[in-house]
Amino acid sequence: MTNSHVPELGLGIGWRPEIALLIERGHDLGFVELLAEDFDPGCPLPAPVEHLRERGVAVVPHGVSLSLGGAEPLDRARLSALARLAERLEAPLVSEHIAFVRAGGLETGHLLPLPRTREALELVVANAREAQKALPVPLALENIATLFEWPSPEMDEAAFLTELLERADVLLLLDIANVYANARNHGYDAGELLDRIPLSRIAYVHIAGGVEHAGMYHDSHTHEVGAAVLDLLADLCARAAVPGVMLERDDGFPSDKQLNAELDAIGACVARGAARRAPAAGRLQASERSEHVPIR
Amino acid sequence: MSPSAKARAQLAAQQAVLVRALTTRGEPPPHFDAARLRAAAASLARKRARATARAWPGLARALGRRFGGLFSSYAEAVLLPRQGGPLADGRAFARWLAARGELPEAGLLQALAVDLRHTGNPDGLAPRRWPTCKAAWLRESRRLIVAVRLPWLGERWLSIPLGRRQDGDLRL
Repeated sequence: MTNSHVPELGLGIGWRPEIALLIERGHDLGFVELLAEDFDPGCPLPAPVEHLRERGVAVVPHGVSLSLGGAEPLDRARLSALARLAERLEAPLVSEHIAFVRAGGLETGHLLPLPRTREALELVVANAREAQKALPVPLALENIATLFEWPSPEMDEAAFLTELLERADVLLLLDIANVYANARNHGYDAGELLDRIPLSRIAYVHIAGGVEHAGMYHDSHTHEVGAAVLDLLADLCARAAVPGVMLERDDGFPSDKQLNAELDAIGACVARGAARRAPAAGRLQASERSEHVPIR
Repeated sequence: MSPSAKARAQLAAQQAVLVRALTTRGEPPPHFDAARLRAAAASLARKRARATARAWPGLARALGRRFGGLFSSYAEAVLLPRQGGPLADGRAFARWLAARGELPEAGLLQALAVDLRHTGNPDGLAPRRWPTCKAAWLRESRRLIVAVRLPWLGERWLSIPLGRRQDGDLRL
């Protein structure tokens, strides 16, 4: 599967109740992402989300609790809830993570890395295939940031990611801030990773702010997006067109003006990168902020 | 090739050891960078506290500077609920505070709101589908709060003063 299976999404943002009004007032957003676990498909959606849907803004449910990288069997109830939410939202796709969140009866509420071994790869490929079968729309998997790594990896992140995406035949939600964080914290070249992963599988891109703390970079989602991460986004867009880019902000929300300025900066970055590509490129056009396009 | 049962069991065991270490309930597994695991564990603890404070802003505000220390003590004793996320975690925290006589009125009110909309189970919280009525006694304000919820129609809250001559029809 390539990203020709998903529509143009444009510029987007993670929907949070604290910034619902800003999002509703922002007429040039192409899509928003909902944290799937915060929404019950059996209940009415919040009015601001319904308004966005009525305006033709695509709404993508983003799960954090499937634990596709976990060794426990997939929770069918969680999978079914995600599928029902996708149908309810008429979402063009669904996203989740290459991570596990629970083990040994303990819930962590956090996305944890799997060991980069053949055996773990087999497991996550099997889980991803099973999840895709249960979902009514394409599934995109997100790369996570991690402060630590499992010992004795059998392959690097680029190889693991590539093989997982191709064997499970799913899309990629490329978190460019996580690429930056891991490259910083584990000493590899972010550009080299971008050269090796299947960019044609990118369904959309996450970008977020972070902070340096005790010698490590933390992908906090509570700070402004830094220049280095924006540059990496431009580098990505110089390599390939992407259907959508969205800002993730979870806490410490700045003023509407600052948040809008950040969205503008992201749009400008995408344009900067696209301008470095061959002129034939058409997706996510080189204007300051892209016009939103209707979903299929 | 699907993963063998043995490979799955082995990974499950390794992941369980790691999770226990990250939730400070076990020793770090061998050959991991211990300093980085500690940093990750601290990050997890901060994230859990922040997420609960966001989900229970009234409680966090009422506890003020004491929120961090109290939540930390609670989190060491009580596991993150399997179902219901930070809302369920906050509900369990409120219960823990109440047992110690530390639950402020703002927390009691939010607990009432959460109980009106969710049912508790051993895993955490699940949304209610049927009409519910809940009540709470605010000792400080000497008020009885009664709340009724009709799914898809809305809620009605009543604040009844007991021992004072004041009108009370509180809509939240």
